[in-house]
Amino acid sequence: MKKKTKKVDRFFVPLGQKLLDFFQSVGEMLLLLVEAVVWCKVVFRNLDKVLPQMGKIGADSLPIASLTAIFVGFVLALQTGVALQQFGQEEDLGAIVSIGMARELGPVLTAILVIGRIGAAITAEIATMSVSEEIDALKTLSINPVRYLVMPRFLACVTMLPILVIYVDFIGTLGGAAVAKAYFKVPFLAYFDNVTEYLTFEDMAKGLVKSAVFGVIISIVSCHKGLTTTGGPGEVGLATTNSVVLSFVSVYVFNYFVTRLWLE
Amino acid sequence: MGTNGIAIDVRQLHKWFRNNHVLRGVDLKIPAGTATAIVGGSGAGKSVLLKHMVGLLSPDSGSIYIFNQEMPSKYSRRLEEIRRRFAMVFQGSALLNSLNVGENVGLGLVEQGRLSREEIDQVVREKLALVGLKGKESELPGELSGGMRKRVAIARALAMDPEIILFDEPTTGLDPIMAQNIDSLIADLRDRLRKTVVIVTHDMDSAFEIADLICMIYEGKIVEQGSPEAFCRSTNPIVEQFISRFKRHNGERGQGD
Repeated sequence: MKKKTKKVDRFFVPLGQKLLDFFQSVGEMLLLLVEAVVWCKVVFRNLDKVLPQMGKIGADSLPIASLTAIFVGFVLALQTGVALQQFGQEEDLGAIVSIGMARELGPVLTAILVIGRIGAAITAEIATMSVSEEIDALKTLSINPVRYLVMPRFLACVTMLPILVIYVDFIGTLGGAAVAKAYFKVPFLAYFDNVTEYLTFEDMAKGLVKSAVFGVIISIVSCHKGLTTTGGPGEVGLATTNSVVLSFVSVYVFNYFVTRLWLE
Repeated sequence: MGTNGIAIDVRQLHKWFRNNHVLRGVDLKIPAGTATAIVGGSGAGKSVLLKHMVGLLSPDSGSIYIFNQEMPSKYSRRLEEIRRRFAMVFQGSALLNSLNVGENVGLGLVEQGRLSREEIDQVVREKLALVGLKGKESELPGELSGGMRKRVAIARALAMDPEIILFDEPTTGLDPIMAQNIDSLIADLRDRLRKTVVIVTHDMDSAFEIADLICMIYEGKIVEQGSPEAFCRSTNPIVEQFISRFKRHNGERGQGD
């Protein structure tokens, strides 16, 4: 009997511990979010920290965002164009590419891009600061780490992600236009007429709201993983991996459920 | 002030890390305006005790009083106010690598926003000169040696004009000459600036050189405390073992003279 209990223990105790850790992390992240939002009240006194972060996330991401967007536009037009051609509907490429970009591909691709480029860097930077006691040093200097480190990154992610998405949508649609013209002989004018006819403001707005929430997720997950790192350089690498994976999963799951909610 | 000259009063402090009972009822009174060394082996809980004093860790049970004010266990305005009386020099210096030396030293003052840029620059120059690093403002922490980084960290601590300065292993990893320099710098802070100094160390040379009071922590408890002379004469076997090497060295040195 005793042996049996032990076997059961070996299964349930770690499981319970994992679950507790998970809920604790979620709780801590929500608290971090609230704290970051509250600290936004002093944003104007901290512009020296917010603006460089905005530059890093926004302007510095433009080259890779352009490249990603234009190729996604190309391939989207190419794949759908072949199918549409069979029905003689090539002129609808404008609607398909622009709506696809605005609703899904723009926000999700930009989020993935920012997770890889910015989220990983945020976690690595803050985790290194944690393990080398720099966060503790900030506290002893009466500097709140959430105000000093989290709030600027949070604000930059939430504002710059939607702006990046507008840009990505635009470039992706342009890419689609190029392929439509080159392979399917759709004139630019017809393509963009089609875009303006079918693409609604609502499509754009929904994509932008989504991307702002992705910004919240990426910044809070990355900062939280960084702040809770203890140990040495090995843990910094592990925290960065965990942060990227958790950001991906959260973005995918949130994206699916919000899309479903909006379609109902 | 009605503090009976006690700067830090630790009462029955307990701390667990998961299943590890690190501090097991620490009682310690640190007099104001003196230098106190907390000594002990690796993993005895010295740094953990130090972090409790400035509120970086909160006790699982027991309490800490700073000039008769109880340290709050949660982040609050009162904790910020108490922390303002402290500065801490970390073992690895903990300078912000993205900022240069001058920005690191002035960081606390800039973020406080009470002084003008010129006043802050003045304080930074003054404090860097005090630690012997005049004109190094624009260098990056990565370009400095370990000893220099430590001195920048001391300058950063002094810039906040604290009443109490905590040092976590200030001489670990430094060559003997640099260690000696840091020791005399710390002694100077107490003698000239009348600061309360707490040093966590396992370097007994350093402890005997600077401290007015030496406390030994062993298995999460204070097992001995007293003046350096009394500490040397202690019959506590743990203390005897800990300082035997130091005594032997000093004895040899004495005979050699």
